Amino acid sequence: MPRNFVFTILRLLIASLVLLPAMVFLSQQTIEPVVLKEQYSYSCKVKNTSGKKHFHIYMPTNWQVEEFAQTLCDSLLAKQSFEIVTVSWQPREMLSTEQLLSDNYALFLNRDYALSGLLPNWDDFYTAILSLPSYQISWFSHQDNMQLSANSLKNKRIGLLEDKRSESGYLAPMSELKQFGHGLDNAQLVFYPNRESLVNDFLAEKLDIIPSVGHHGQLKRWPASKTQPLKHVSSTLSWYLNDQYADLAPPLVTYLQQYQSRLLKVHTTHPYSLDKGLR
Amino acid sequence: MNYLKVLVLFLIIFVGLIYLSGQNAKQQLMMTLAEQLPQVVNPSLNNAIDENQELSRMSHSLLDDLHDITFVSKLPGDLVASLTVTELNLSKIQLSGSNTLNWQFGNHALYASIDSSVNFNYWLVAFWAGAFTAVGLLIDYMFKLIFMLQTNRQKVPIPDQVMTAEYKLSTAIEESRWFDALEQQGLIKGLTAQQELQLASLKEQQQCWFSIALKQGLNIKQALQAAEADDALCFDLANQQVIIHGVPIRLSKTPLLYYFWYAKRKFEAELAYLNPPQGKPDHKNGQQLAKLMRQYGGHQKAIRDLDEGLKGKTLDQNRNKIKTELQRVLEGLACDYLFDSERDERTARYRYSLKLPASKLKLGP
Repeated sequence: MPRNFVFTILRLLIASLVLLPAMVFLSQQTIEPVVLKEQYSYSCKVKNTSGKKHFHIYMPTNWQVEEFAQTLCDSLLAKQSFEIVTVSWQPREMLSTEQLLSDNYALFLNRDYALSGLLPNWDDFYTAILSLPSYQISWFSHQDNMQLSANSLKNKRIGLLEDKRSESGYLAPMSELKQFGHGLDNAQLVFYPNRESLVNDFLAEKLDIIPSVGHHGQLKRWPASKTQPLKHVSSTLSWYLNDQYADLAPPLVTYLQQYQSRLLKVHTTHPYSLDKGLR
Repeated sequence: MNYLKVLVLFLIIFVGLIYLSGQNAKQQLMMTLAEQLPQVVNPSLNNAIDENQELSRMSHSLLDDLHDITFVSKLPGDLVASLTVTELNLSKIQLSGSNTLNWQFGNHALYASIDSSVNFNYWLVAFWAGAFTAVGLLIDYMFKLIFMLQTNRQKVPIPDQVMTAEYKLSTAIEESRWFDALEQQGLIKGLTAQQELQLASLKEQQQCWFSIALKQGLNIKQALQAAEADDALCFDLANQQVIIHGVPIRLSKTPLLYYFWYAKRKFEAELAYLNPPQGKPDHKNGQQLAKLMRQYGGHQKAIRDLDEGLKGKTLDQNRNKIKTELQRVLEGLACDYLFDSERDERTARYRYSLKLPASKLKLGP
């Protein structure tokens, strides 16, 4: 091996080794803070408008929100004084009094007790323009002729929703379970972030019992013998319209009726009737 | 060679900087996303009817916030101008690849794969690469200097008187080799191990011959042959040169032929030639030399002069030319191949003959 060549390589190697930390140091750049916008909303621009107002809607589901918002942008609110329509569906637990006041929702879907909890004098700002029919919540199980009792629930794995504001997924079933009282072990309860994962685990038989209004195709065809209705019947779920926009109530009601009848048809087992509950 | 070294160093540093800063930018992005994606993705899925559908919607919607991400750097100038996420894929199914993230959503994991393109400030990268190359060369030069100082320190302090002892010592230790200087002058490159051994075994006189041969333009192999060659003077008139100890030396035609004439006399055991007296040129030898000149294409003027007879002055001139040329090439070693002179008591003129014995002469190649 030629001595000179080895020596040159050795020198270059040492030079690179000395330079490497400096190169690494120079390459260290810090990222400018990236703020990702929340993803639980969908916005569209209102057609044929020169208005600047923001029509903000809240509902606790993202079912067909794009179509919902687009209908408002393209026809219902077209030519009105709105610029943007936004539909949000963040977890109900994220809704706070401050947010309700600051975001100034134009329209939202909620239960009146929940609304009262957030803003006792909501009556001063909002009017319920349409109520959903009450629907039945049921226990679904893999076992025939299930009778819920402290005894029958022993060692059963029970799936619930994490969302403590959900009536069908947490509040109603949880209070029923409490009535069976003692025997129930907390370890039996499994909490899920949304209905899809709850139902999937139930269908995969990782869970023995779940409460549901029958959101899933397979639950709709679930044999009646393997279900048991909860004693509690859901409390009223209503659309609230900000009094500022009271003049928009008639066209909105018509559209909301269509929207929710489709929602209920697709997503519940329970026969429903639309009582046009303008309070 | 040196330019190539600089270019290679520059390119290595340039590519290195691009790679390091690109990787760093991507790593920073992944760290930010690892923190933020769960915070924005999870809440949207809580009230989602169909997770897959919502994940695919968000995959597109999130891209809007992820273009032209900028960076702050510790030193002036940002190597990475900006970074843009070109593809973001959210999924419930495990994604492969290096740029993937995963986090928990309730009872299952969510995955994100991210593709991004980095936009570099190439001029700035080139500038820093240039600066680093300069520093690199400086460091390289310093090492070279330190190395040279060290070898010099081993050589310098030893007095001339003990030079041979030092030489033996150094060859024995093999720390500094006699041909290092030749290497540094660039006269020898790429020695094979065998050549290195051969060189190390050369005697002092042979080393001189080796150096002379190299300086005369021979390659290492030929120079080694010359170093080990016999002590001989060989005439190669066809190529207008003499070969002394294997080393070819080119001479002008006229001095070469005079040199040849003296050699021929020595070879034929004739006596040392007494310079002819002034005004009485030697016609017999003049004819002989003129004949030689004609035979080997000597200059017409030189031949014409010789036809008038061999003059002492011309002989002196040509011997001097030979001496000058041989000393230029062979330095101290030249004297063995030059002339012996003795004064003729009777005429007070000088006789000249080649110093080298006839046995070491070769009149043809």
